[in-house]
Amino acid sequence: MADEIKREQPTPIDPNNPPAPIAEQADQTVRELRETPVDDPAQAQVEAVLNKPIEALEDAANQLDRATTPQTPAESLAPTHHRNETHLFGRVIPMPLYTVVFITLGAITLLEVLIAEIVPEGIVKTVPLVVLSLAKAVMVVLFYMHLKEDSRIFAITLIVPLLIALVSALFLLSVPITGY
Amino acid sequence: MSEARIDTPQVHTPSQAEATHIDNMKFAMWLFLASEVVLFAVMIAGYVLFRVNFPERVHEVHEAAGILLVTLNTFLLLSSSWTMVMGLRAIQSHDQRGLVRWIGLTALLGTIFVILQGVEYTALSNEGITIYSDNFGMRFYAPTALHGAHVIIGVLWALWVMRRGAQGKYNSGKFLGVEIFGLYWHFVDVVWIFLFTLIYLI
Repeated sequence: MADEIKREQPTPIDPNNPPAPIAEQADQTVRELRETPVDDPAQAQVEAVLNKPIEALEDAANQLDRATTPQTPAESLAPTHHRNETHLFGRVIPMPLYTVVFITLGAITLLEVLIAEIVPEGIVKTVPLVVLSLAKAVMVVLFYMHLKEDSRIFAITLIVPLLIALVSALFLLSVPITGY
Repeated sequence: MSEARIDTPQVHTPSQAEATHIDNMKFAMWLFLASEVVLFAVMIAGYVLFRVNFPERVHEVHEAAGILLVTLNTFLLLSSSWTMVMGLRAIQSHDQRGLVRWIGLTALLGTIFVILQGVEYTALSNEGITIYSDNFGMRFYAPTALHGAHVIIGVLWALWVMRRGAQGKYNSGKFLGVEIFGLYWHFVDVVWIFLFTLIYLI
């Protein structure tokens, strides 16, 4: 076609012998260097000691890389969000995950109101209510705010101020009430 | 020569730069929400301190306020979170009309929440519980009113997202605006989950 956009053709790759990615090529080189036999046992011992922190650093870097690698929208779109059924404890519920979460949140809220109305004041009432509200909040954050699939950095961003706030609140509770 | 069909669903694969931009925007929103966590935590901590030290006063207020209206409001906000996420699901499936409908419903539920909060404030005021009445007033009205302000801003934002959705600005490969708004709206819901339990139930 005359109006077809011409694109630059990449160098053809032999399908029977594709080149390894650059990172793999680098790893290969490092591996070969490491696996080269060393005649002197003292030198081998020194190298083994020197390699240990490097390997630990590499592991840490890989873990950090996995945690912080930006996810594309296609990745953030977990297929479970688009299914019309939800698999829960081996059962198939004919509703999307979001609706199952919503019904669960509603049920927990009703339970909370019931506890608040029936159970007398005290720790027996406070603890279950706090636990249930925490469960609701965690469900919203994990499923509706997609923290379950998104980068861990987002989770850290939320958890750090929460911890600071919690410690501050506990510290405040220890202050005598003479200020009132 | 084979020709590509126009109606074939196209999967948008973002470039690295696009993906990084998306991640930066979401990270910026999470940072904003982190600052909001501190803000609300201070107010909630202030209320909890009062609750621990003056349980009789809180009990009196609970008796006066009742639980029915605030429970209804809680269900409204939970429902609005569901409609919000269903709107996101719709646009991710390239259902632009579905997005407008779900986000419109979210805005409506948020509006009813604010109206009912006004009704609740009026009822409390008639019982003599105002922001100036005693130490309880400030500790109650500050977090709940700040939350109400967040809902009002959320409703306005929802209307804006709706307008852009109606203009066809979002599609299955471009929905960051909806996702960012969703983060804000769900955060407002999470704050209410804690306010409801700590202020009204305990």
